[in-house]
Amino acid sequence: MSTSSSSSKKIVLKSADNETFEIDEIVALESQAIKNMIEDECADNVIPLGNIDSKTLSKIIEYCKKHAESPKKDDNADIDEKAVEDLKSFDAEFAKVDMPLIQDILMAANFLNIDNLIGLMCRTIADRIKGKTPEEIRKILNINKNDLLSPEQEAKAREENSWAFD
Amino acid sequence: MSDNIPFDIQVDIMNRLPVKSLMQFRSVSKSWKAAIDCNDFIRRYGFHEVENRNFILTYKLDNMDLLFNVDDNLGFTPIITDLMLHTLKPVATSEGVWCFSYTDNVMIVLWNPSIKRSVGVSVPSYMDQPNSPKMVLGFGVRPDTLDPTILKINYPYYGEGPWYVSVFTLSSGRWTILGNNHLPRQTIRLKSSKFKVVLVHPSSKHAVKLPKNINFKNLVAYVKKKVEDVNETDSANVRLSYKDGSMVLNVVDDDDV
Repeated sequence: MSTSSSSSKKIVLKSADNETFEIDEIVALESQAIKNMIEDECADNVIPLGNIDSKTLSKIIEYCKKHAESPKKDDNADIDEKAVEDLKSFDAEFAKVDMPLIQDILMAANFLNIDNLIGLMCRTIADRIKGKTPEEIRKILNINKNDLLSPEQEAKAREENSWAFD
Repeated sequence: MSDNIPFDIQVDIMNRLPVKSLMQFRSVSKSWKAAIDCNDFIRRYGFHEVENRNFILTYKLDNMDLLFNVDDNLGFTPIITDLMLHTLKPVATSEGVWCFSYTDNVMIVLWNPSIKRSVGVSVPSYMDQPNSPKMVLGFGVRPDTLDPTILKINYPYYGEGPWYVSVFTLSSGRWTILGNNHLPRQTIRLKSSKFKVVLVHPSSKHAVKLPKNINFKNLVAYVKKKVEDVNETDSANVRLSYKDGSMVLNVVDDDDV
């Protein structure tokens, strides 16, 4: 999986379906959770990620690689605007995947504690659901049936916001 | 991974939704409704939406309270609300959040029309300061923290007597009496400057009483004429309100206070 120079330290991640991904440590450090593990020396040769499948994990690695390569904003007051634009268009392309995968990436990013990626996925979901009906939202986000409003409560909520339903 | 997205992340998604979607999504679930209805959203949303609306028109028709925004070109935009407007006296509006006082300043209502949410704030009784029963209220949203802030000044009827200045912030939920050493020595002059605090002076020299049963068309013409007469809309805060059975047009400028 890795194409980087052999001199840098490698980290191996193992997905739920037992696929392994060897990546540069610098890429893995985009994840605050892995960073903590490495700093606490809890990371053995292989870090098992039992709740992330290989499809999701490869997307996450793609994201972390790109963001690890990009110059960080606070490195230099003279920020390369082209690099910022480049990263923006990468993010936009990256988010062009179906809703279940977006949610899987979001959950995994939350588990791995990758702030920027959580933000990107939340933004993407908000963009996609903003024109939908409450019923559709429930389905998309798999809202627990016990958490639903009673028909009376729902009617009342709708009435209170009738101006928003025009 | 087909588990549910943790709720704190769902809230993160909500924070990125436009207000209109958010209001619709109150009916998604109990948790969503509770999160959207909580006071935090009043503070975070809609603060910059109502910038150039100089007029607030409220009136009562067949027991219905009606409220309009009136823009510079006298375009009327109705605002739907459950607030009993005829019982509320406008104090000020700032950054899209409105402040009313209720029944002789016993209660203050903060209202954000863009998300249709209001919060009641009890005002400490002047009995705590029996020598200073007169009260004037001011309201503004701090532009840096977006914290709605109420200012209350108690002062005596005649002559000598103590002045008390109290400040309430929505984030703290508490009234704080400012110590005497923080108070100005003689006069207070508040401008709609950095902190956007505007005081409504009850005896504004521009206050105009309107006839009681004026119809809508005449009202528009009347307001237009009055505004032209005033001719200082840049610095002035023009307000139409329903009070004591009359429509009242208040023009408050910085020099009134």
